[in-house]
Amino acid sequence: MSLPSPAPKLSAPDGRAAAAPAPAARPVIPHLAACGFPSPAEDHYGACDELDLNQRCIANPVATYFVQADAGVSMVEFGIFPGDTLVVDRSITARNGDIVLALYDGGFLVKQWHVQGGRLQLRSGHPDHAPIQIGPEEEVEVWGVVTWSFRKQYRR
Amino acid sequence: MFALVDGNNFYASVERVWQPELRGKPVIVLSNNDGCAIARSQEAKALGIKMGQPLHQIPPEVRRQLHVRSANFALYGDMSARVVAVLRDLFPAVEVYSIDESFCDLAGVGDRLALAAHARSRILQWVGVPCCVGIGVTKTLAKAANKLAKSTVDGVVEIVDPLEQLREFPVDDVWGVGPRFAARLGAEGILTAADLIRADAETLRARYGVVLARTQLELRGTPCMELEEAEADRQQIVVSRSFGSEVTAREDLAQSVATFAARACEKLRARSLQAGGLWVWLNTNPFREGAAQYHPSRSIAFPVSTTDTRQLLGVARAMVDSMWRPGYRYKKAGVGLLDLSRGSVAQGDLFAGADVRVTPLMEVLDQANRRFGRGAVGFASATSRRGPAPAWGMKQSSLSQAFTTRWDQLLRVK
Repeated sequence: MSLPSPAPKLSAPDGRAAAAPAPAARPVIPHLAACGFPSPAEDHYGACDELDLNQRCIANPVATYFVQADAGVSMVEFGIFPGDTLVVDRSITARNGDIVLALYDGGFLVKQWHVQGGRLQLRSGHPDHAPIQIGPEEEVEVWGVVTWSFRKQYRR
Repeated sequence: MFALVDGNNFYASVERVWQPELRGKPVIVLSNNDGCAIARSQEAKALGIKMGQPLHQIPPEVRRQLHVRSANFALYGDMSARVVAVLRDLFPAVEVYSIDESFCDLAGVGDRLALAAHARSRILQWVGVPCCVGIGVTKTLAKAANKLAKSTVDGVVEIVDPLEQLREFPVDDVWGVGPRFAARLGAEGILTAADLIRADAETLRARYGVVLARTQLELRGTPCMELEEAEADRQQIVVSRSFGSEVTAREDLAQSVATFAARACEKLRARSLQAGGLWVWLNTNPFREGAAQYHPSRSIAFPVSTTDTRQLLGVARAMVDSMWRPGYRYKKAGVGLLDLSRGSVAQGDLFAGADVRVTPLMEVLDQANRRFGRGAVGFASATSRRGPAPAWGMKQSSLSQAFTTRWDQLLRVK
């Protein structure tokens, strides 16, 4: 999660940033994997006296994935800009108003999940983008619910 | 009582999680350097693609219908670790058996079928991979039940009456019965698992030895297989052990992993195979109340399949270094050799220049170990701090992104 570090420190149950080894000089395994998932039931960020972005942004590491928004301006009203990193949790069931990563018409879409009077819409966050009405014959699958998004501000 | 949970066509299913356009399509995943099919979606099986079939032997008109992916072990290893994490949360004990299979202990579980169904749906939701669960009083029965579950709608089968439920179960599909045994058994009229259960135990032991006798006992419902001695399927060689006492130091951990890796390499060469990938995992002790738990798992593909212990130890060392964290008490580790192929099938890398001196040296090493006892001759890799092997260029023409392990390869969504 923390942008300056290449390591998504999902694997440090005590949440101590200092516990991660220096990621340098490993050409074979150049990037630390998001692995070693702590049990979701554990209060693995519990007794910790440091602030960790994982603790804030990832409720369930096992079901959490990162994706990159490539959506142009269609979601800017929800604060999602091109190039933003999205945190997606597959263990959450989408509710009205959630931002979701949906599978629609064979592709991934980031939209707002909107249900009204038994009718489903995928809404965009831009006046130029009309909501997508989902007909009774059509299929939409929620791949996951977007829980956080973030972007680099410094010398981007 | 055990449950065997395994991901259906695991590698192909993982590719589909991230590439929905592959759903409902015939998908195959190719081994290292794009040689052979090591995973097939159901649709690809229906087209007649065989496990291990070299791509160039697939007729062009069939190949044109296939969606082909190169093995993406970084992705498979991460998704596998997620599956295991879900299981650890639900079952009293979990033994990782291979990258896509885990045995779960059902001791004290009331409603086994309900728990199995719950695990299955949670893995599908959280990880996106469809699984099947086989339940039985022995691991051999759980394994057979898992096979039966593959052809059911709800994906969960418990074997309660082996004679009846395994009436038509081919004997060569029984865990521990190789094709060699199966041919001899078939000649004696033992064609199904039920036939094997009914066979006279004494005669069986006399003719086939203690291994098959144990398999028969297991099929009859008497547990006699220690899990850790179980051999993973023909696609993987897995060596994993619990440590005598908990290990905290990085060097000690690396040494253990090196020992397992060396043992795995011996098995590899004994079976005239070479490995295209390496998988290493570490476990803390889940039974120690209040102790911080950590279950890292990592896997990597080689550019050229190898039998070289030195190369594998170097990579295993680098993987331990990258996973080890201070402050944890490690209880168990494992090494898996993935993407196995016959020596003659795998294609060499034109630019890597396979080291022809390696084979005789390795043979000498294995002979010495047989003669003087295991571990008599080995490599000082665990202490020599070899650097990781160079980052060679690999032929992976249809490699999907490392969606879960590389910031620069995240899925891009509109």
